[in-house]
Parts: sequence; structure tokens; C-alpha cells
Amino acid sequence: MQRYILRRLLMAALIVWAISVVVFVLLRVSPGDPALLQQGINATPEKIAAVHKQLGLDRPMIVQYFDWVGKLLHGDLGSSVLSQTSVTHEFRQRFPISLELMVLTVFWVVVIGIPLGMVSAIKRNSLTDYIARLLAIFGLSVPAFWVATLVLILPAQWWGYAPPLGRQIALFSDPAENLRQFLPASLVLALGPIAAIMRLTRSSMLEVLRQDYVRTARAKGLREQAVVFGHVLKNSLVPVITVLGLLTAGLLGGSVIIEQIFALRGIGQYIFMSLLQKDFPVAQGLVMYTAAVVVLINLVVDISYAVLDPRIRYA
Amino acid sequence: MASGELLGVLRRRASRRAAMRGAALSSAGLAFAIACGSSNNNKKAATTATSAAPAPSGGTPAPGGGSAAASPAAGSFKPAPGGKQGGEYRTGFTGPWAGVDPHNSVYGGSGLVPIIYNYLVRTSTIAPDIGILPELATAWESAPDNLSVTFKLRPNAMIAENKQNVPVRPMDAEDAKASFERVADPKAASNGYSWIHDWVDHFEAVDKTTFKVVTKAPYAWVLNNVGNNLYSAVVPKEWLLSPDLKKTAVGSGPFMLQSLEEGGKAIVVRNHTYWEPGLPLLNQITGNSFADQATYRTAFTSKQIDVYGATDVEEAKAIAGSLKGSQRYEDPGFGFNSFWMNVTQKPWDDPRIRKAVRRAINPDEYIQLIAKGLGKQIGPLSYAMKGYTLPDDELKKLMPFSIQDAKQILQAAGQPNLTFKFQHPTSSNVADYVNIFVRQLAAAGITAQPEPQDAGTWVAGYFTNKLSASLSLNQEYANPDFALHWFTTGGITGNSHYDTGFSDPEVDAAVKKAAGTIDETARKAAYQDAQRLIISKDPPFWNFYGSYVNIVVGGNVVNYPHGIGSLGYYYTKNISLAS
Repeated sequence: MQRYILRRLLMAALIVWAISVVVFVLLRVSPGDPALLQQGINATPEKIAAVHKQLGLDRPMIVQYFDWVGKLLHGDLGSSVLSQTSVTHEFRQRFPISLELMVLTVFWVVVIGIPLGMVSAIKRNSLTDYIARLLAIFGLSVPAFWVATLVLILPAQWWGYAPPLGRQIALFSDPAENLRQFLPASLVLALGPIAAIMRLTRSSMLEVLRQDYVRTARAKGLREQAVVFGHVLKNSLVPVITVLGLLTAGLLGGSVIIEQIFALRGIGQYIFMSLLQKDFPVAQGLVMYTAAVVVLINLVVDISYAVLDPRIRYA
Repeated sequence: MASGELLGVLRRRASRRAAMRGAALSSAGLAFAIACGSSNNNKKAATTATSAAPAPSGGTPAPGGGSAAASPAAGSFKPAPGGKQGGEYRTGFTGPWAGVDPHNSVYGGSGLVPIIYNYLVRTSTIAPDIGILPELATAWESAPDNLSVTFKLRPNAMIAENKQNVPVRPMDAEDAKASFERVADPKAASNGYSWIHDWVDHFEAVDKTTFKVVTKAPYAWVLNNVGNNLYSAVVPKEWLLSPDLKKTAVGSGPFMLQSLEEGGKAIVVRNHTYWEPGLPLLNQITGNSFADQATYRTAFTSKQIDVYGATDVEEAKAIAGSLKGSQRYEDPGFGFNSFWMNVTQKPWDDPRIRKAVRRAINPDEYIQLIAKGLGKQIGPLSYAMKGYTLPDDELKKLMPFSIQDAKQILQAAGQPNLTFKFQHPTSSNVADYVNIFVRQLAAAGITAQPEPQDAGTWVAGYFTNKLSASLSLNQEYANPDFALHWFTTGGITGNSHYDTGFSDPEVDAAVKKAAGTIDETARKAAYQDAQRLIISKDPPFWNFYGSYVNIVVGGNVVNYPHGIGSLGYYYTKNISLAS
């Protein structure tokens, strides 16, 4: 197990390094000049050259890369080309917002998606099952950004109500207002993942319910509750956990749009703006962060297999 | 200028200047809720007038209630006296802040600079009736030979208290000199560079309270240019040396920058040492940078902000109709959309092709479909540049829509089945224009093939003149002189960026002559002649139509400045809240 974890860690480091190269190169070979975006249309060639020098863009790409990586290892993500603010500082301010959104979303996925899947599997082909499956299809087929726009616009149109927009309310300073701000965004963001997890839990449980050991457990006279929670659920969760991990990683991407719409000043919004403005110190730093989180989540998922199912052994 | 018009760039992210300065103007207008066009000037501004301070004229803002009817009238604003002191006024816009460089502000930052810094004077082309408003300068006088303008500065405009170690002292002529010399420095990359480079001989601080602009030849737009929000802020000379000039601000204006969060809020607070007694009325203005128009709109309809720049008149009407007590304004604006052609590439080197394309374009369809009926066909100058534009009926004769003509011209040019590619930025509102454009040209047998590009690619191509042709949203400029530089040698920036490559000595001479004509009546005639000449040359830059700014203001807001272009920033100090 330790050797496995070590190998996975090394592999993760390799992947993160490869991503750093790809991100760095892609941002530099893509069209558009950040100096031009920063300085505007009247910028003289001398001014553009001066900005290039200031940003280090006049140096060979390999030198720029190692300079960037060196600073990255010291926790310095550089400064925004456009606003000239420290990326690390902005990151620290925005990270709690994205984290809270992600945690709340995963919370909804777990507390709604898994129980719904269980009920749907246990009450297979019942009205409850049909309704749950219908909801799942809705959740999977409707784009989150569309739902988000409606969730934002319609209550405002009808009742003049909207969650707090544009101002950030810290969780511990005003928990109720904070929840009012994050609740709609997290629920909308959770819509698709809830549907996916519900369907996966249902199919996985249906498969396990047909196993001989479940029949044996029932034959032994165990209560249905003990059979479901003690034998079926645990064995059904391996694929669910895998997908949950992937969905959590995917939420990082999905939250870009949702943060935009609900005016949450999180990492997603920051990435979005920076990519549009070719603000590459921000973009490459944040893409690296995203990549690291995805790799980390996958690592956690892989390790959790062994915990959930001891039969799984790693070569 | 409403965000809906030009901010296509960021949400929209870039339309030629829109990506940079145009958007700045538009977002700025919204950033601090001033329904503005671009910049200013007026008849008196241009006449190198003598002394100061004609009182603002016009009526009060018309509260429209939920169904406020608003006519696109300009120049009718006059703040009601008094007003309740205190309160927080909340505004929003779509896009980034992008710093607060006093001479190079873009996006939302250009809405902050004009209320933090003072200018020598303020003027507006959109509202010529208002006249020249004194600010740092209490009086000004033109020399008999029209080769200089001397400004007398007020002695009591104190630099606001600050944490940046800028000494708190009266602003003086040395500050003005240092500020304009920075604008004149190409390294500052300021929009104000071109007029100074072309016309100004030098700036002079005669004494502490006397500042002089000396020109190389008589120039009609001195007062207009020194009152321009984007590039003429007077900045403490010590602060000009600061590396933080773009990050924060220290001025003598009615408000002080308290905080600026990129992608978030900007907060300005009352400058308690502001020189004008009893002003500003508001304690605080909070600007919110929204990334999405729907979010921005919702923030207004749920009363989290006090003003909203609608995307078109129908949206504005719908929102105003649903919000009791709200005020709706249809203000003249400088936004327009255009088709830019690179004459160094085929087929645009042939003026007949350029003419044929123009003949095939029907501006009315854009006005109806995109502006929902609220727009005007324009020529080289926007309709909002009062007195300088060509009469509507003449414009229609000079720039007619005629598919038949287009086909005949193409036949004569040997290109009956003309096919060309054009580039445009990928933003939703530009896409609307593209669809209409392609369809209209197809009716004349022209195949226009759109090549959408992301903002960065498109702006870079535009800057370096590598595009073959481009459709984009645009922004009219401070004065006719600036605006007509689209058609002069070297292009709009004067240094061959965004340049169509078009060069005609007659046009150059006509534009220069008009700018040097001091007499107002003669100058207006000269600009109209210059436009007629430009149109006759089938230039490679066509403006399709000019748009209006649609603003909805909460019922709680008193003295919302409207109909006066960017001069609205000047009156931010008069905005108050009813409760």
C-alpha cells in the first residue's frame, strides 16, 4: 500500500510538471499580446517593448519557464498583467469562496444524490423510482448555466428577490447571509452531479442487490435495513466514490460559469477573466492550481478504493 | 455610454478600441452611473473662450415613474439645488476595472478617474448648451493670435488626504504642467498624445496659479481636450512619479478611492476637504464589476444597485415598467458599429468595391433589429456631435442603401461575384451584427465570409493592421478632430495602428483646416465639408448607425445626470439619495 501511494505520488508530480509545461507553452504561443491589452491602442512600440521587458517576455522561453517554476515553488504566482496585483494575494482572497462553493455542492450531491439513488433502487419500477429517474434526466440534460440564469432572473423579476450579488459575505461573519449567497449557486452547480450520482448509485445497488450474499443475508433473517446499509450500500459505493471524485474535480471547471453568474469572486471567475484578457501570470498560476487539485482528488479516490474494498490490490 | 452598447468585448471583450478605451468609456458611464457618451467639447469650448463659469442650463432630471417616458434630448440637465447629504450610491457595470491610470484609464477604471481627479475645465459635445464648466481653472483666456490659452487656477483645490505620502497642498500650475507633459510622453500611451503631438508647442507654468497651453497653430479643440475625462486629469506631480499610479489614486476631486478589487468592488468615499462647499452629497459610491449582463440586471431589479445600463430600449422599458418610481433615460451616445477595410489588401484597394459594400448595407435594419428602433444613421461623425454632423437627408443621399447600385458598381469593377473574408471579435452582440451584415451583402451578390477571433487575437491583428477587414463595435471620440482621424493619414492614433492604410492629402488638409478654424460657424461648415469630401472618397471605414444609451435609475436617486455625455461625471458630486 505504501509503495502504491508513493508511486501514485510520483506519478502525480510528473503529471503536474507536464501540465506546467503545456500550460506555459500554450499561453505563450496562442495569439494576442498581453502588453497590448495592458497598454491599449495608443501604445507605442517602445512602450510595448518596455512592458515586455517588465514582464520578462523579452527573454528566451526556457528562461521564462524556469523563472516561473522557481517562483511557483516559493509560492509566488507573480502579478497580474492588467491590474498589477499579486496573484497569490488574489488567490488567497478568492480560494475560500471557491472552496465553500465546492464543499456545499459536494454536500448536496452526497445528501441528495446517494439517498435518491438508494430509494430508486430499492423501490425499483415504482412511482418513486420513475419520479427520481425523471428528475435525474432533467438534471443531466439541462445546462447549469441556463438554470442559473433563470434562478437569478426570475425571482428578481417576479418578487424582486435575488441572492446578494457582488459583495462577499464571510461565512463566520454572517452565516445566514452567507448561506443565502451560496445556496442557490451550490444547488444549481449540484444539479448535474446529483443526477449522475443518483443514477450511478441506483444501477450499482441494483447490481449488488442481485448478488448471492445479499440473498444469503436476507435468508439469515437480517432486517432489510441491515441488509441495505450493511451489505448493499458499502459494496455499491466503490464506483460512486470514483465518479464523485471526478465530479468534484469537474466542479472546478463548472464553477467558472456559476461564479460568473452569481457574482462570486472565486477562483473560477478569476481564471475566466484572466484567460479572456490574456493575463497569463494569473491564468497559468490558476490552471496549475486546478491541475494540482484534480490530480490530488484522483489520488484520494484511488487510495479510497483500497479502504472501501479490501479485495482491491495494487500491483 | 451604456455597457450594453460597447462592452461587447469583455462580455464582449473587445471591439477595436472597445477592447481598450472604447469599452472604458462605456463601462465608465455605467461604472459610476453617469450616462455618458465619450468625451466632450462644445461650441464655447472650441472657441477659446474668455472667462469662466456659465451656469449649467436646462431642466431637472425627469422622474419617470415606472413607465417613465424618456426622449433622447441632450443638454437639458441641471442639478436641483440642495439635496440630502450622505448615503451610499451603488452602481455596476460588466467588465474589469483594469486600474486607475489617470491618463490611460480603460474599462471600469475610466469611471473612477473623473470623480477622483479634477480637470482644468469640463465640457460636452453632446450638451453644447451647458457651456464650459470651470473646475480647477476658474477662468481662461485665449491669446489674440489664438496661439495660446491661459488658465487661472483656483488656489484652494487641496490634494485629498492620503496614505501615499503625497503632500496635502493646493493643486497648482506645476501639477497641470507635469500632468500634460506625461500625456505628451509616448511612454504613457495616452489617448491624449495625438493632439498634443500634432498641435501643442509647449505647456507652461507661469506661476502657481497660472497655466498656459501654447500651440503651434490656432487649434479649436484646446478646451475640449484639456477637459477630456480619459486623458486630461490634473494629478499631483509627486504622485505622477509613483509606481502605484495605476493601482490607486490621489487627486483633488470630490471623491477619494478607498479600495479597488479587480473583478469585484471599487469604493470611493467623500473627500471631506473638497474645495466646493457642501459637495459632494454622497458619502460613498460603491461600484460593482459584474462579469455577466444577467447578473448586473438582476442586481438592479432586486435593488442591490441603483442604476442599470440596459442593452436596448425595450429592455429598459420593461425594467422601468416593472419598478415603481424608477427613472428611465434615453441619452444620446457615441457608440456605433463599423466596417473597417485594409486598403493595402485586395479587394479593398479598389474604391469601387468599398462603395459597393456600403451601398449594400441598410443601416435601418441594424437600427430596428439591434437597437430596437432607437438609433440613427450616421456618417463619418456621430449624430451626437451636435452641429458638426451632416443633415440626415443629405447623409441619406450621400450614403444611400441601394442593392441595385451595389450590383452595378461591382459589375463595373469586374467583381460581380465578390467574395471576401472579414474578421470580428467573438462576442455575442457582434455576432448579431455579423449575421445581418452577411445577409445584406448576400442580397447584392457579395459573399462575405466571417472569421471570428478571440479578443486577444483580434485586437493584436487590428493593432498591427494584419486584418483584411473587420466588423466591430466602436466608439466615437472626444471631438470631431479626433473622430475624423479614422480617415486621415496614419489613422485614428496617428501612428499607423488600427490603420486602414487610407491616405488622401485632400482629406488630411480638410480635417486639419477644420480643426484650425476658430470661428464656430465656419468650423462647423468646415467639418461638414470635410465629411462630404471623405464620403466622396469612398473611405475604408464605414459607420453603420449611432446608438443611444438606455439607462434605468432607481427611484431613490436624485439628480441623476443624464443627456450630457461624459459631463455627467462632473455632476456626480450633485447626486443624492432621497432616503
